[in-house]
Amino acid sequence: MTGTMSDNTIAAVVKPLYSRTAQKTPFWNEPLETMPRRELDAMHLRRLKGLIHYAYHNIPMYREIYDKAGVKPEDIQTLDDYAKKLPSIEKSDVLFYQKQGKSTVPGSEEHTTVLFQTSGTSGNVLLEPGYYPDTVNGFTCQAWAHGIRPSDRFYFAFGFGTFMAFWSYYQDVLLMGGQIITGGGVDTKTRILQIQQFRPTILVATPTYALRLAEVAKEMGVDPRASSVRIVSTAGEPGSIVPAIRRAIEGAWDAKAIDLYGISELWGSPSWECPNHQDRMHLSESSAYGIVMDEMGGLVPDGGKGEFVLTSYESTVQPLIKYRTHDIVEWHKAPCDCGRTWLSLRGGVLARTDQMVTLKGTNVYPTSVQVLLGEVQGLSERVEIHINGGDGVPVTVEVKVEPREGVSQAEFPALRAQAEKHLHDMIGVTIPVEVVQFQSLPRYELKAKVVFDHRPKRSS
Amino acid sequence: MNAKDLQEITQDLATIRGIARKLRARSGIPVVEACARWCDMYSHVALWSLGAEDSFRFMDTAVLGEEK
Repeated sequence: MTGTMSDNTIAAVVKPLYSRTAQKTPFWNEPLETMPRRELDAMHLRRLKGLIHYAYHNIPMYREIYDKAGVKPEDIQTLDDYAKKLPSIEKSDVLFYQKQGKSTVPGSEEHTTVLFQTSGTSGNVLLEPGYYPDTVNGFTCQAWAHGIRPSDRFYFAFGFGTFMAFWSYYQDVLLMGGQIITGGGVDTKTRILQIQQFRPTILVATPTYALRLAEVAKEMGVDPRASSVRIVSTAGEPGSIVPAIRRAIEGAWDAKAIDLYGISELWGSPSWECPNHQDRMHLSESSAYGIVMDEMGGLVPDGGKGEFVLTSYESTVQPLIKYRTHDIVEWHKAPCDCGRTWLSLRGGVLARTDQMVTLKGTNVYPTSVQVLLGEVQGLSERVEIHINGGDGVPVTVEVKVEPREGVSQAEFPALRAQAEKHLHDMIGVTIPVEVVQFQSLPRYELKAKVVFDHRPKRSS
Repeated sequence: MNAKDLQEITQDLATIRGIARKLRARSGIPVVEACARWCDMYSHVALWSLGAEDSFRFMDTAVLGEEK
């Protein structure tokens, strides 16, 4: 015997979770991420036909909707048929049929292994029943593309409540093999201490909360820029795809910010920030098929803007086919120089159709107002947009915005003038802007409330 | 990655899935059936991710043929 027991322990070999080839590739799923468009579309057509057939014969909601429209699964033979003939659905349809127990596969109860729900801020809670693997691969493609590997440590600054949100990310990190540190059930100050203690490399949070954490850290005398965090990975609301929010997050944490756009009822079906272009997102076409439609339901040409309409392949218990997201995107089908052939969305979600207001004949989207204000030097990403009027009274929009830290009150009038001019130059209408004191707007723990629509609600 | 390698990978995954499904259907031992179910599910996810499997039958993971 030549060595001691401790020598033997030291000599133990820890095998890596992934081969060298897998570690080095920037693709989580190279065959599909780089698949030529023609092959991708052929796969989508096969999957859509199978899914529509399955839904029609197993889910009462689809049987009723398609029968009412006079469409049978056999009528959908091409992607053009899918775009033009198949009725789209939206959240209100799912809510309507869900209340009658018609939105899921009868007999699927034993296979509904997870149940999430939307926040229900509009008064209607949408249930999201699913099966274990439905959430898998929502975040993995993005993580791998941005150089995140199993050696990373993930801090989830998230409450793990009834929203799906980062539960899906959690499942993906388990699949990928990274180390998970759960930040559920503790307050913000404790989370700061945990970040100091456990030294995570990836911070997972909504953009609003990532900024809130940094703010509280500074109040505690802790410098977030000196932390172990190298990437702030956000979702849940527009994040680093909005330049002002990227600037704020990266400045606060001295870390790279990456953004993901997903819709929980579609079980992810995410679009995520391209590793080569900060202003574009790629749709994970392994889990969803996306098209862009105009206000009349027509297909928007490649490169155009319109409403993103998605079919998820991953919401298996309650499939959503040709689901209207109400998110306005600009889509591009050309392959990206990052090597991916998946759809590109320039600028991420540009606006919400249901938040559009018309001022003096001009369509104004609150999201655009927030983006434009972020372009004014001296203003921060913290904004409130108030919509008033309606019911015969002309609609008006007013904006409150915080300055960046260190801006003096003497500069407020000039900032206000610059902001109003910039909005007028870019949108074509006058929108009053009030520059309010730094840190005077409310702070939020999950998502920021940006749009306040004070118009009388109409009952439908 | 060439087409031949990819084909071999999908064949291996299909074999794993087939064995897992057989175990689920025949073992009669809950712990084996539970673990085999995960194996079945994730080999299906891998096949699906590669574009090699288009079935949209989540119940497929439950339909095991004749009741024991």
